Amino acid sequence: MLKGGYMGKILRVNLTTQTYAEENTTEELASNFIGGAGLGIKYLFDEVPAGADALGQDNKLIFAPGPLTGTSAPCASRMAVVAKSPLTSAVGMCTTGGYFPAELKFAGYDALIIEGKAERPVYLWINEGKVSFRRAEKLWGTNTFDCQQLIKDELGDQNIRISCIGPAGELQSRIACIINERRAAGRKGLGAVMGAKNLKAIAVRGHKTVPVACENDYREARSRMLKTMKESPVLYSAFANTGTPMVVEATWGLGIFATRNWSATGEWNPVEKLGIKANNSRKIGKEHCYNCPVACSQLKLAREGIYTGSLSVPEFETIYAFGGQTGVDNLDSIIAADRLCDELGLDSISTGVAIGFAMELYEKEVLTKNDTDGIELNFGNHEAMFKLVSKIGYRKGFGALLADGVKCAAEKIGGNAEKYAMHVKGLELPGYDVRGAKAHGLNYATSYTGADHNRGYVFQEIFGIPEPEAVDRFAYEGKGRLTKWNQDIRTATCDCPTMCAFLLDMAFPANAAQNSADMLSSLTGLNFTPQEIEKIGERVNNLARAFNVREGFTRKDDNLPERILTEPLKEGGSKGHYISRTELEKMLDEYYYERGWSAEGVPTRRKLLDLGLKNAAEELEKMGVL
Amino acid sequence: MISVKVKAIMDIADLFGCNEQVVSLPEGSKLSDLLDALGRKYGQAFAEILSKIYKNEKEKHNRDLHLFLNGRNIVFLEGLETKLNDGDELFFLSPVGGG
Ligand code: SF4
Repeated sequence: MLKGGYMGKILRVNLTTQTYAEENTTEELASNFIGGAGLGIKYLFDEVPAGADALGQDNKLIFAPGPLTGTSAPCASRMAVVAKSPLTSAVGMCTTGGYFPAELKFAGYDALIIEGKAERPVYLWINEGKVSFRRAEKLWGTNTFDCQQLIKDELGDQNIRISCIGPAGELQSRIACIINERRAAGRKGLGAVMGAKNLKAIAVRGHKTVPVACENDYREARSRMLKTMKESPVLYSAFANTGTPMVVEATWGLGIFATRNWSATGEWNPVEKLGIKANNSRKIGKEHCYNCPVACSQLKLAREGIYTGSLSVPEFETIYAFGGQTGVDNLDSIIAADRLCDELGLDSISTGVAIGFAMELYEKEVLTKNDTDGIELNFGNHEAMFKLVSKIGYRKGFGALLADGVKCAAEKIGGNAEKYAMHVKGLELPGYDVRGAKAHGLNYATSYTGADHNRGYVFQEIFGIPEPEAVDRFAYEGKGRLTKWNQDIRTATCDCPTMCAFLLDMAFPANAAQNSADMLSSLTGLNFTPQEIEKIGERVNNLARAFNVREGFTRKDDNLPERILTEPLKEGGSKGHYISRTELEKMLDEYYYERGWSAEGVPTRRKLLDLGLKNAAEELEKMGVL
Repeated sequence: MISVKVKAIMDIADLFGCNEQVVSLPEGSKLSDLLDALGRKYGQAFAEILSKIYKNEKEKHNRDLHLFLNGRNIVFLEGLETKLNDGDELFFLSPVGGG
């Protein structure tokens, strides 16, 4: 019997049969996987068969907050959303914050597993233990903001929390996301999985409280956590007032603000037009996630031209995607494009990268106006960039070509288009030009979700933080060990319990495992040591890897785009640097060694058994790869 | 004389009044000479930053401010003793997070 942190139940919903059942959250599951990403990936591995169509009946969509979610722990607002990704065919895992994840706990659930496919559009209404399947034909076609409001009105409660898809998810765009409030489970096309299930939205309301096992210990652990947050040199000062756009300036200084489809990184200074002052001049307020004392989300209002009146929270990655990547320096257009992505339910990173990719092909005359519906798609053309967003979201005209991401678009275009498609395993690259941050490159190559900064962010290289040790960002030696550490610690301390990952680099780079052990042990009454926390991170990363191996991924998929491997940066703070093929292979060798995997990147039987993943070992054995 | 480009962001850029500037120094200057020159130019406010830098030099787990010379964190060079060359680029990375 679980004493704290967990609500004790997992809700399983079948859309085909329109039935639901409750299952117990077991102590074994809690001790070995904590919750969040760990729990989601465990169910994904066990229940989604190898080779399942990500947009078919067999894929499952799992929403999993963690034990800390919905408690008084600061910044524990999140949940993992997990499915097989239709964009990458690998594990699709995103986290999202806001208020929906905590509400799912208040409704009594540690996770929600969605199976099957509804015959007609529906939305789920989870009201404290009661589940109803409601018709959503009228909602089909609405944008995500209107959808949320219409459901609240229909159910007569403005405090209901809603996760939903927009038109992009309905049209099964493989870069569609899931939106709750103004937050996104943004990447890997999870919105398409929801759309393929004919599930427009999930509405949740609950009034339960999350139990605490050892009140005194928990209170003390929480005080220590808050104290450490206060000691951060940046969290409550610059970050709370600026948010992630400050990273535009840092990456410019380091020469890694990826620019013009990564063809001109370091050759452009974005600070004046896209930096902190420009962002702050559009700021009209702040938003925060459940029980977050930081409130990093900076609400911005576009004030010029056709973009006037658009309101959004463009984060660093969005500024990269619609700014650096497309060469656009008009911040108002970026705010408007971000808003449009949220409304349509599109991943802003993948959308911007797709547009920048098309721009380069247009400039190289691989694409012409005949292909682009008459749009002059030059780098820097903000109106063209903005127009394309809705074409992608609605799969209209030229937008349909980009609506499934750059890998798919490059295959359709043919020729040498793939050379300009900036992705790993199909997932578009986030905004750090890894030629000047090599462990970050290794993380893009090996993350179980594809090119994902969030699965192993290398704050040692990007912010210079010397934990667990100082790192030379241009070196490749030692990066295998570092990448394993970053991936495991982030999984275990952020993606599973949950904790907003911004705290990891800004407050807990040196003692995240201890903090999680203290918080989780006192909350749940289970005994988590820092060593076990790290091991859970390793377990989850190995299980995710086993899923990908079972899907047919091999060492050759742990790759980087050709441009990264062949074109040194020409200007800026990382001038002359790139990751050579030899360096990538050496980093992979070291990484696999550190992980205890074979030279082919397959977890060994010994490693899987050591982590208690007997089932995964048997599955890989059946395939003959172990 | 040699010319060194100095880049900064956030609080330090505010103090400098710009993100980029070029500073001239005698041949053979070291990084510490460049910081002294900036100290003379920006007075007390920069002295405070300098004291942070000197403190950080001694600390293994510095999380305050990082200096990058030609992109490389100076802890992997000769620290403040690193010799400067014409065309070098120094970047002050203030504490940043998120992303
Ligand atoms: S720091 Fe920002 S993203 Fe993290 S919980 Fe707080 S408001 Fe949400």
